[in-house]
Amino acid sequence: MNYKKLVLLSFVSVALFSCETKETEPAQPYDSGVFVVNEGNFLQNNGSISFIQPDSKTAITDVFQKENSRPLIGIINGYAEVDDKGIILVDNSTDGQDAIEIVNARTFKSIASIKEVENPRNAIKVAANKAYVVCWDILNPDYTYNPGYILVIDLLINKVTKKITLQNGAEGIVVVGNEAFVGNNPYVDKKEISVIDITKDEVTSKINIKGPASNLVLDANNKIWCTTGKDFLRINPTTKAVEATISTETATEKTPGKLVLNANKTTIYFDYAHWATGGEVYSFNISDATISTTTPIIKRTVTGLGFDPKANVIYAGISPSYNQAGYAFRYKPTGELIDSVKVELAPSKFLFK
Amino acid sequence: MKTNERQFIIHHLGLYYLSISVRCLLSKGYPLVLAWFLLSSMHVFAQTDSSRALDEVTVKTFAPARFMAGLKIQSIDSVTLQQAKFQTLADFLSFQAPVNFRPYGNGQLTSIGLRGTSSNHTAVLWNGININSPSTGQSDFSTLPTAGFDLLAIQYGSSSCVVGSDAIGGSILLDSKPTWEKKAELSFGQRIASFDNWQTQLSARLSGKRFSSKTVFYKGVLNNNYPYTERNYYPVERSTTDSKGFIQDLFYLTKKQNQISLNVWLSDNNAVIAPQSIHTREVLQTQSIRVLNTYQIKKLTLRGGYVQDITNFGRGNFDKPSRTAIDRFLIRAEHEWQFSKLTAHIGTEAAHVIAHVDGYGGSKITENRLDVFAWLRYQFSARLLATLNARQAFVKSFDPPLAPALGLEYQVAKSVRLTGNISRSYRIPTMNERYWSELGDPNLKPEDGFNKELGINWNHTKNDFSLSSSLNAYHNLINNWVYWNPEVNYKVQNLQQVLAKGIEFSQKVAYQHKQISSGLMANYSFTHSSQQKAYDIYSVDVIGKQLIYIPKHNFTANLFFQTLSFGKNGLLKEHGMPFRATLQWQANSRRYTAFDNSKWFDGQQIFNLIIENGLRWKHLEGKVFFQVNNIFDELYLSSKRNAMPGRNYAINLVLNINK
Repeated sequence: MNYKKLVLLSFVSVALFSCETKETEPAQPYDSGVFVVNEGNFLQNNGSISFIQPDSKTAITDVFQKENSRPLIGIINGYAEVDDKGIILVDNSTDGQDAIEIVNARTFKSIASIKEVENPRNAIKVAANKAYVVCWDILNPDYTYNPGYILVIDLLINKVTKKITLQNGAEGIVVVGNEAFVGNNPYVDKKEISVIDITKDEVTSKINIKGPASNLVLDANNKIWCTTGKDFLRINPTTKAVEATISTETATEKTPGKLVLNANKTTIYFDYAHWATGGEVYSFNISDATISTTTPIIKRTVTGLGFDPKANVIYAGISPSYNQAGYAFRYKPTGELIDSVKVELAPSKFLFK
Repeated sequence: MKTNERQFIIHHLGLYYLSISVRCLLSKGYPLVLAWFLLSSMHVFAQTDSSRALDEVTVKTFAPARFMAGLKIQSIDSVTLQQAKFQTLADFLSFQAPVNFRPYGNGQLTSIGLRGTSSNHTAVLWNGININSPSTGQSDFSTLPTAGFDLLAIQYGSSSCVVGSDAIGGSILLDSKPTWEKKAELSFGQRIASFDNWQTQLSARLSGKRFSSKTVFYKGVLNNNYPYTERNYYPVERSTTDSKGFIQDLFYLTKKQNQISLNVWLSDNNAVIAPQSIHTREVLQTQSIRVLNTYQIKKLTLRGGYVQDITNFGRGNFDKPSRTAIDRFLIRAEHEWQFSKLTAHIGTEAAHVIAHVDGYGGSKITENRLDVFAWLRYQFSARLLATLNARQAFVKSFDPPLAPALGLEYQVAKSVRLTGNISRSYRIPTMNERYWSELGDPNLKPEDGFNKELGINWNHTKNDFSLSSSLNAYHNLINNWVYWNPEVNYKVQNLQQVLAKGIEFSQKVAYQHKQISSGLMANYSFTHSSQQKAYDIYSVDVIGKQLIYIPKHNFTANLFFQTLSFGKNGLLKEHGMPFRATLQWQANSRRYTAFDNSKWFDGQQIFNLIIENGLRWKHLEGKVFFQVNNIFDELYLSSKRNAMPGRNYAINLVLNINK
């Protein structure tokens, strides 16, 4: 037995022993890594969720199908985890065929399906075993929006316990203390953020703003950032006041979107794009008084943006088309490309654990 | 209906649902057409008294096929067609031939693919004129009823020189055939099927030695009341389809054997997706008027045609549908000469197209097209036949390439024939591709295909058996393939080069002994069709990969058993009609749904069983068809990834009165 084999053997035995000693609760396949939400192609209803294991350069595709031997049928609008349960938002091209799939977040085994939902947009944890799912409801025949709603889901029984009616095109949610703040799809003519008391599951007030508030995120100071048109707004959730309005340049038709925060929540990365001309990714510090869009961090049109707080890595979803697998491009916070992982159709959201 | 706005635009963009000004069947044109038809028929019937014996009647069917030496043409026999009289062409053909249909759902938009090409590469010819919509360049096969035609053939491979634009993958030939014998037949058909689906047909045929008339009314309602909402976790989409139509074929032969004919086909199809949701249901209305008037004077044929296609797509209460209305006026003149072994055929066709399409930005688009063609057929000897054809099309602002073709057929031995064909084909980009606001490009080049194929046919008859086999191989390289390019926000570009190649094998076995006959017709095809050229950095993932929705392996088989009557005597002996049982099989390997083949639908196989019997009494005959579709309840998917229906049943009753 040579030296190398000896070293190998010792590693193996250490690994085996260390496993045994920790084995009070067995490790599960999806305990740590990155979930990639692949939106899929409209009318092909082929969205999916991929999983990238730590240090892996390849993705496990369609993990829901893999673990449950049945497909998700729709485009996938989001994935959130609440107390070891995963909530998948499935949006089918035909009305009446949308679904909220609840899985064990560690094994991805299906626990329940909720079918009484139309156009789910976001899911978020609001309390222990309690999730809100923000929905548009069905659209009108002319593609205008109806009043949206929140489905309150009790994850102990995996059922909807209440439906809270919201403004038209409700989309985007953050939770601060005992309140949830819900914004809008940018194409809806609504100028308010709904404030919901999460202990009562009721809308308690509205914050009036200059336009539809989209892309809500929460920074290190517990301030809400959102966008409306070409502007960024900073809102104080306690006073409900708009503390700052920072405009971007006015020469192009690009608008900011897909806001994500770095690990300590002091830097905001955003996609700055127009549907016809594409875009790039820029960033700013939450203490900045101006936002510059002259030097991009990532010079690509992205369909998704994420920040891995553990690895300190930016994830950008790149989609050659809606008919071909996209890639998760990984960048250092400076914008230096690290590598890319082929995922599935139209990677749009990331969840890091 | 949903979210991603851009994807929505793209889809409606018409790749499929397109449209224009709201005009319906009862628009100005319709009463005129009706009046014309009535006058013509009165005229023809008035002539019938003077009918007298005619010497040999030489009316050719599928005349252009005579100039397609070396090409594979599969004709569907009339018994099979009769069995399928309640089916759509999509449902029917998928069990007869290696044809790829892409249904959006049961009774919903269904497009075709022949020989590894896409849905706008198959020309659909009705009595010789291309009825593909000029806006989409394709036909919705869920709206074409089998009952509408007397002859049906699938022509595989490029035939632009004969057929014109679109015929890159092949063509579907639908023809009406006159009957030159004294006959009167009234036929009533009713189909009752699972899921509260039904269809009714009423037809009348009246013919003499000098005239032939066929009138068909058809109406069908698919309520699709499935007893389940999903199959194996795949949703079963609710949809309804309401279709109706009217067909009138009139043929008249003058004393000098000149032929005058009028063909009219009106159809109206209404498909509703998610009908249960009154606010958000999707409605696709497809209406068409097709009128063709033909004069055949000795060797000269003159045709005048009018085709109107209306497609309206809307949601909810259908307040503001997206509209497409296209009118086409056609004139065609052809002359044929016979010089000993050489047949020469020269013709020209002019079309005036008027398009009102909402998506073109509001203005009316008109277009003139002119085609000239020359076909030669030379029978060197009893063994060797050659055809040499060429066609040149002219369209405002750009000219498609000259499309020549050379075909050869050589009888090697009594039972063995070799075939070969080499041709250039083209597709004029659809009006959507050229004129759609912002995304279309009027300066697109025509798609340009170069097809080579070889075949061997073998026929053998011995005792009660007859056998025939054919093996064909083809290689079709298509340049300037039009692509809605996501890299440039789905603008239309001549980006791709596609190579479609494959092998087709078909086998027929027939047995007949006294009152019993039996047969097997089987087809297998291998198709490899892929993008060849890199056009961006991500296309490396796509090059060489099988095009979407085209399976590599496709099988169809029809096995039948028929006995003329049951029993040696008694009622059945005296009044019984043939009993026939047919087992149909269709199977295909996986179909990819993403360009890089990262997503697919699993392979599938479907079996149908049709049992047919009847009674005859004097001039009356009644037939019953009992059909079980998808016997083994196979799960197969629509383009929207919904489950198509499971096992289902149909009973067809047909009552004929002959005189």
